[in-house]
Amino acid sequence: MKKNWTRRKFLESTLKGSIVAGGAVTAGVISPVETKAGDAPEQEAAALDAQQRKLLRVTMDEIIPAGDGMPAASEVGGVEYLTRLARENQQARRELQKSLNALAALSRKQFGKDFTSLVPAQRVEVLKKFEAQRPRQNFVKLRDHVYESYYTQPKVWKLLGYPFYATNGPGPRMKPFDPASLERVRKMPKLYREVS
Amino acid sequence: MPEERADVLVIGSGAAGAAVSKQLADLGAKVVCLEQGDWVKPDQYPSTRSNYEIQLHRGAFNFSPNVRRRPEDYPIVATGGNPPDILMFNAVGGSTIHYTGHFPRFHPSDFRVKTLDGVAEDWPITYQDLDRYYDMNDREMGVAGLAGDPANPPRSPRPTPPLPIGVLGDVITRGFDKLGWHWWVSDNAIISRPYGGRPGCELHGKCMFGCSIGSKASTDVTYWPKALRKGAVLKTRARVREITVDAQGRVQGALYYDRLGKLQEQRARVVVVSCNGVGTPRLLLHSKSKHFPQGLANSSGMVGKNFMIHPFRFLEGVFEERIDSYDGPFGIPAFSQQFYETDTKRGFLRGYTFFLERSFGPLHQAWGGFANHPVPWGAEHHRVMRRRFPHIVRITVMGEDLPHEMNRIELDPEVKDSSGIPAPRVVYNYSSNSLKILDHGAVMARRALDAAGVGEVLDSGVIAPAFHLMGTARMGSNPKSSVVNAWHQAHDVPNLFVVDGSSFTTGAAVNPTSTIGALALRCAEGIWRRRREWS
Repeated sequence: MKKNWTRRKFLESTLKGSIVAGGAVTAGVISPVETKAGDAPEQEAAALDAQQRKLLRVTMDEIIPAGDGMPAASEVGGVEYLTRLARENQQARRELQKSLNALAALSRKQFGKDFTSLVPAQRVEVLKKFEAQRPRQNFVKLRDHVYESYYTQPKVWKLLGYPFYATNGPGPRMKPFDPASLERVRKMPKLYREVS
Repeated sequence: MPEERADVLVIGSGAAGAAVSKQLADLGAKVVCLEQGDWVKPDQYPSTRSNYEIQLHRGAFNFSPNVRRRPEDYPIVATGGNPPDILMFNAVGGSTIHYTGHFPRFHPSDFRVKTLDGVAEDWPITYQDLDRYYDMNDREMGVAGLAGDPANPPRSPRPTPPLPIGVLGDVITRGFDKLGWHWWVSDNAIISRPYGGRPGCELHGKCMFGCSIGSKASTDVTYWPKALRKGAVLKTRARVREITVDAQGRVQGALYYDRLGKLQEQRARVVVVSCNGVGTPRLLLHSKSKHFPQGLANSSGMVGKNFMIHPFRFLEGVFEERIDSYDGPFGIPAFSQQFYETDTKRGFLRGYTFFLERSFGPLHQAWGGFANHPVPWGAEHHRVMRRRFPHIVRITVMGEDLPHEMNRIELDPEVKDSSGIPAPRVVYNYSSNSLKILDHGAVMARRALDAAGVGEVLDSGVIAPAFHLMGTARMGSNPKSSVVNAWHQAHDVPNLFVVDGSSFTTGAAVNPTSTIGALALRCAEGIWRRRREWS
């Protein structure tokens, strides 16, 4: 039987051990967006239902809570970002829905309640258990999507002091290289082997 | 109807194919190049957009064809004990579109591994044979750097001065200075000043996501404009299905699918294959005929064998100082070859290079950075993120991978690309020598980071091999153990040439692109010199 290379199973099998964390396998690119909290158009809402968005909001604020002068994930438009991503990208939608469903099920199993009804200490407990559960990808995908929703926001960069320089604009200024810094190394004996 | 016969058909337009095409067009040959990818417009590069880092997980500029799945990509099946995550790009310029631009050279000893260290094979050429082609390639591409490095043979003044090494360089090199170890500012194919009609680097630091101003020397902005001006014809979205042979067993051209999926034939007196260390053996193995039932140029059985891919290990040091590791060209700021040459007291043969390297932005750091240590979620998240970003200096250990026949490229019996051509299947296992190299490198890298005053070290451990595809149609003097001779001419087929990473007899412990370019220029001269032999 012939395999189709686009099949998810094939891709997952070939991407084990990716050097980048998570290694989400999805096609398509979302356009750059600075999202605003509470700004979810109707069509975006269709990608994740109201219950899922509520769960996502509560979960992402446990993953990235406010503190140390930084806002929580939902405060910089995290729900809206991921709702939009889920609408535009089928693979991301599947991953988010799968992760959220698994988290919701775990919460009900552990405490007999929806995750959103738990007190913060219980949420953290469930999330820790979720992180330790197999398959770990359910947690990793959710965490990585939340990180993406947060660290693609210019307002977060500003707070971190990260200056973004697009390659079609001016770049940063840097001190030119000083060849005098190599004076010691220049005096080293030859390190390569001569070969006739 | 076949198209008008060319003198030379080049398959692939990357580091090698571009250099061969330009050089032969310059000399007067009628060159046609078939490229399965397309031109990439600078404004398409993710580096122009604020969400460029998402390409590390998905999108049309992901480094892996299995993730980006552009129409011109083909799938790669990976297996073995350490299945590689093969990184490459299919476009005019090939993988130079997203390489770092690091442009080191092999050492003289890299061409004499068997003689000096008793393993692998010697190349049929020497460093001296290649020296002037390295220089030619540096001039064509445009390089920033500094001559005078005691770890390498003397070289001509670099076309442009070194790029800034930044706070990152200042911090980490103090460790190397304290230990009395070698380091040097890197040669990068990223020009620091205007050169050859291209602007100097603006230090944006996103070179692997495409350089939209053309300071990084991808061959679409270096060789190709010149080749086209000299009359070379470049056909894009032309996916070669097979190389065809005549009744005498000489190659006569190639069958390819054009952008509409229609099968076409391009004939030529000479064919040069430059599809990289995975694509080249794939095409040769798929070009079976009654003359070559095991695949073209494969009477030795060596096509696809001896696949080499550099073993890497990343160590990220977290320093107190704020480091500018996301600014400045991503091409390696500085390197060390303190442990490059063989010293048997270390318990392994051959050696490694340290790259003193930059990082991407905050998203990649949160996801885990190069060392793959994700920033923890929850109450500790912001504290740890602020401690790491932007305080990280990376040392990359890149070791030499020796050739082993069991590491190989085959045709997958089931998976095919969108044109029905079998996918390459990569079978790979790290050797114990490679793992010892990485272990030694990790210990020494920690020593250097400690000497520089590091606070915390994050270590990737052994990662899936990913970078640099070599050895699968190797050069050699013996037709029984190699595919091409010292001039890249196939032992089995006089008018077939193979030049790219697959031609490497051994892989050294440096990035391959400058050597690929130098080999390609030398190969082109060899083809031209033998032009009377063209049918």
